[in-house]
Amino acid sequence: RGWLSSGCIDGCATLLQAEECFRNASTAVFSCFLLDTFVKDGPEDTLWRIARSTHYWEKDVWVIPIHNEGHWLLATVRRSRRTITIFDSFGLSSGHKRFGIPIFHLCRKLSTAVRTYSDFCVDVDGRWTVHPATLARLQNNDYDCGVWLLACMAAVLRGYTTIAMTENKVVQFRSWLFLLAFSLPTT
Amino acid sequence: MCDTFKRAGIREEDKPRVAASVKITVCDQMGRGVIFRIKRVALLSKLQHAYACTVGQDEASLKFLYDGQRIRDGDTPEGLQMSDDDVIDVALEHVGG
Repeated sequence: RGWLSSGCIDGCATLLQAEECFRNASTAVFSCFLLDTFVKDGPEDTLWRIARSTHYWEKDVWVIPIHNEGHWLLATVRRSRRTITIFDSFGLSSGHKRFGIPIFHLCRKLSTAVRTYSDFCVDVDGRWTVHPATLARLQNNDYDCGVWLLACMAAVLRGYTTIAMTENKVVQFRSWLFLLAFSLPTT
Repeated sequence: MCDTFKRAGIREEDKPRVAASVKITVCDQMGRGVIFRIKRVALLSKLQHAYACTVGQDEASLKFLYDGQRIRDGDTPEGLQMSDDDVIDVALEHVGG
């Protein structure tokens, strides 16, 4: 029932993407540190080093974990549709209002970084819309938001916008993630 | 490789040598760097410990990334095929519930 750390979220994200049912060639999942570095005015080369291994310039959907004062949210950027969706397991609308613009600016920065450091380009021009993935309160405790984020990430990797999971399934999902991590070889 | 040098007429002392150590910059999220020189076969956990001491941070609160991937306990510069002037990024760990 513990809170999840950024290292744990990044590790579980890697595990999910390695699972056959979640493999998705058109989705880039970024590290928890990407938005945090951007918000702290991190330089372009730092952002590039953190993001480049995802080959995000080849992907239509970008998944960006957000840490907001002890609470995890998830942003999903769909470049072809010019939409940014913010998932908050508390169902609050404040998340998309607060993070929509920073996520958009991060996308522009990533676009610039691709042009600077590679021969590729990413088009993020045009009119974008930001909306919440859900306005229903899915989480009623104070420790599962990281697990909800990973559940939403799994749904996005399978091509969905949000999740239909209910709170009584969170324990099972957390156990499944634990088993997935536990089944890794130790060397 | 040895035969290749012999055939090319290159003397033993002129062969290219891999340096025993590499110069690595540890760069924080604001772009501030601290430079370390570390043996190729040394554990990067030593460098991480040295960085944490230098900046006065709790090592457990820091995450070190090389090329966007988290550095693991047994990683060495040799194992990660690092070269001079490579950069390790360091970020503050967050927890959330």
